Amino acid sequence: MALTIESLENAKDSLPKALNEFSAKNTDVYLADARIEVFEGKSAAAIQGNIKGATEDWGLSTGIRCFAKKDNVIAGGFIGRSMGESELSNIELELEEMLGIAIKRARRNAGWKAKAINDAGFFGKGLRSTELADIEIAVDNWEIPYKKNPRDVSLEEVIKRVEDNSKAIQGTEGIASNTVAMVTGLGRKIFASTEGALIDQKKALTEAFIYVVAQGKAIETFYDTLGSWKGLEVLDGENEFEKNFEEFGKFLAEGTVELSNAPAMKKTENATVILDPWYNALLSHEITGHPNEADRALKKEAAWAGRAWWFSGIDDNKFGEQVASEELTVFSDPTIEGYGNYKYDDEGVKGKRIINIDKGILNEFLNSRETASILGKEPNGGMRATSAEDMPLVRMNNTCFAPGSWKKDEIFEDTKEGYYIVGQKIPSIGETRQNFKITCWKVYEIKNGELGQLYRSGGVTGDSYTVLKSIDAIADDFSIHNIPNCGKGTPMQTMKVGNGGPHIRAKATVSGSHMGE
Amino acid sequence: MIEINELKAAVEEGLKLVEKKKGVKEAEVYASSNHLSTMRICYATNVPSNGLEEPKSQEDFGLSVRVLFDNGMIGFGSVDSDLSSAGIEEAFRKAERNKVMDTDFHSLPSPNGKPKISNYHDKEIMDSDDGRMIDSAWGALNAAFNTLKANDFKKNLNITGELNYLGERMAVVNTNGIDASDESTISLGTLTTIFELDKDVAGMWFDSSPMMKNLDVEKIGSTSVEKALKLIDSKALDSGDYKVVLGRQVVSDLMYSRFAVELDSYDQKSTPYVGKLDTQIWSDKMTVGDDALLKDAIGTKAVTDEGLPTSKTELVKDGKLVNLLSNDYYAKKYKDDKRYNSANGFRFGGGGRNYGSDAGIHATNIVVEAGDYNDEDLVKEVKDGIYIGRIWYSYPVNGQASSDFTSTIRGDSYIIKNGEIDKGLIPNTFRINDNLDRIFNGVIGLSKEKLATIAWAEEAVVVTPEMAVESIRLDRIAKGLY
Repeated sequence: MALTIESLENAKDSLPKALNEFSAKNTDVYLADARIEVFEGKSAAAIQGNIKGATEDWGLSTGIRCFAKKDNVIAGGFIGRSMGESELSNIELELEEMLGIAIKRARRNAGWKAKAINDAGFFGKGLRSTELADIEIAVDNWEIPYKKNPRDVSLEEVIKRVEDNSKAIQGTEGIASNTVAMVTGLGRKIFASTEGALIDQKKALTEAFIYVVAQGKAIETFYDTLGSWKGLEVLDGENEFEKNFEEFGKFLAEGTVELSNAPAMKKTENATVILDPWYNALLSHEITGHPNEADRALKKEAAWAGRAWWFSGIDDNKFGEQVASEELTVFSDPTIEGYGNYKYDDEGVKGKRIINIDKGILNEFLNSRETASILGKEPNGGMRATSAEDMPLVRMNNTCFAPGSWKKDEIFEDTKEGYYIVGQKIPSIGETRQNFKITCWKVYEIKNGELGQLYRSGGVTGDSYTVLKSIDAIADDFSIHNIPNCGKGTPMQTMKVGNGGPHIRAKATVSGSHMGE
Repeated sequence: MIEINELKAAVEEGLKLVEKKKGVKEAEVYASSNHLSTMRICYATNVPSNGLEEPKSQEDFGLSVRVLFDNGMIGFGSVDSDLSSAGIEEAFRKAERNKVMDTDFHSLPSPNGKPKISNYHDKEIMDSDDGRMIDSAWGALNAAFNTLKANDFKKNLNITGELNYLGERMAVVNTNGIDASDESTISLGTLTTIFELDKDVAGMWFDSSPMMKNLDVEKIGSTSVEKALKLIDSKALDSGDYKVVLGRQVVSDLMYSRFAVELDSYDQKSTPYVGKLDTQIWSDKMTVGDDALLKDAIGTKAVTDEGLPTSKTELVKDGKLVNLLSNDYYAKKYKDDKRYNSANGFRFGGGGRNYGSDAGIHATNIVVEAGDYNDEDLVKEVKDGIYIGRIWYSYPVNGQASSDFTSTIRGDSYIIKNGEIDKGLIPNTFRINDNLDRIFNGVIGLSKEKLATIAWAEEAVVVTPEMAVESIRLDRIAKGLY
């Protein structure tokens, strides 16, 4: 029997019941919450026009967080599980067992933390009993509307569409290889807590991935996705590229073939660059989105994901200071369309639009209940986990550069010499996000406001503050490009987020081929 | 975790059911069970912290069926948390529904030998004693505190990282005679200590072993602090081409980033090495292989997830690219080249051997062969340059088909002056903008001692010596901060 989003209906009773019984039995519980999530969908992948695999399946997972007090100190314990049908039919027993494991971990952890606070002298002062900021407890249902139900397409149709698109791309002159994949389905997540929250959220997902390898004078590779929390209408053109699945494949294939015959970009310092919204998705993501995540700023991700250059400590940070041009405002908004769209985060906090950078001034981080408590802020609903078995982290939602007042054409007309940076490619960012190198799909030379020579192997690099401060023109156009695979956490979770903005003009170094071709 | 005998029984019973089904030409039944415990450590003096941020675990078990049908179509289906005959029936239904005509698929694997190792896992990790793991994490942190106290260091700092303990079991059978099972365990830990002074200082240490008892958590804590302490009084340098010693983590990071030698990458032209098999790609001082049989290494496996015995595969011999990693699917696709050995077909997917996905091509333990230098002699050889001990976010920014990469120097790095380690190098002040093949063509020498290193989100390891190279291109960054 296949599980569907309807199969979770009983869990809406089971989760609160299990949590209430658990809370009644264990008086040392500060807070426990449970998430259960199902996704039912169809997918297929093809390489070089040859279908490689297809699935019509579902996945179910559950996660528990428990914060418990021991020796007057609160600490957490967590557990996640992938599940099958039999566990769902016995979900209360499963939850009871998982809550038992989580509280055991929380108690042992709290005991050690209490000992360190008392015994570690100077170093004990860095530890704190966990506190979560108060929130309005929600009981709510929410879903994103969609037009074409993913259930209405057969697996055979999915296979055919993927294979046909891959064949068409492979038939493009100059294409050496391609990979095409897509997924479409329905997801549902239920959250409940010992505080009484019960939140039921549903979304459709349709996403397509295309990777092309072009062989011209050089080999050039490129990939991107189009996707949305919608139904099959995404593949008909209701996406950030305003292209259907097949047009998107043709666009990437022909553009990359053209690029493979273009000369390699040579590193050019102190250049005027006009960055397109597609490129700005990755730029806003890497140098403003991540360092605005409060867990990163509070050093929780320092080992692998890194820190935030504008926050050293509670009393040593750049809040209220200029960190970018006064032309630039950066916001995070889970209430608008994009992969960062949700009503409640995975702590049951209602998401809201916040201004991270207000006219160049550092203003507010995305936060969790714990980091909000530490920073003395209102929780703004930034905690998300990739699946219910993962533990939530602070994640950007739709974090974007806000539109400005220039017309796009005016920016070009006003640019005598420079480079037009088109499309996002691959990022490498400094540990505190203080420096970046993000490559792009295409670089065009600009002369007297007109596009000229096309270059491959280009990108933009610079110190974040210097580049953000140099922004002198922001267009009134705006689009969000979805990023499906943002990595963070241990074990690494890949999250879907929305980023973007308008056309922006700045000063930076344009990077080129490292071999100086 | 599910016991190995339960997995074996499930796949054996499952195959009996599936092979009788109408239209089945060949069939494979696979089952696995995984348990990953992660102790995420986040401590800071200048912001409130939890010490042990997350004691947590993830677990799964299930089975899958792969079927070649009489009409040449291949199908894959899996079920979660179910090893019963009903689960097999459901997985088969999915395989039948999901079947496609993949013209590159030839046949399921056939036996080609016996596993060369057995019984190399750690029962302690398999039994996943929560209490012991939580104690280990606080043990690592307390060792760091004690080292700081011993050195009377009481300034702004943070200590972050994690301990991971992974137990994985699998069993697989097929109608061609494959009948294999495996139990493997991984313990690995790493901590990074950052002193947030007027100039940042960062020290990192790590350890890994298949055995929990061999993971020296206290040394991880104390050494990360000691390494940071050595770097106080660091300085920055100007942009330029520098003669360098690459520490083991750096060699490892570069290998993860750009050494794409899987046959599927080759097939899809997503590697810099397309067309370079049997050609000289690097200095003749470089010999690199994949060794799944390496003793006491966390990438070690007895059998692949296709049920074939693992082996050691030489990839680069004296600088020449001599082989690629493969699974059974691609070895058969390229069957005219007999060197592809099907020894790397794994279902790694983060957190164990994943019944829910087909076998891709994955490295196990990548081994860079040692040279004849002592570590300090490499520094003498460089004379004036830089020792780079840790790099960060190395990515192929100019695309998968290029050996170009960029990364930043994160910490554990020093200036080399007159053949001696001199002052530390301030972390996050240099970006490397270079090309892996250019760097590895300029190898001066390799050290005698190889050590296993780890990387974020990687279950394999790179076992490598330190390496001196003629030059690396470094660009000065973060001038506004330092």
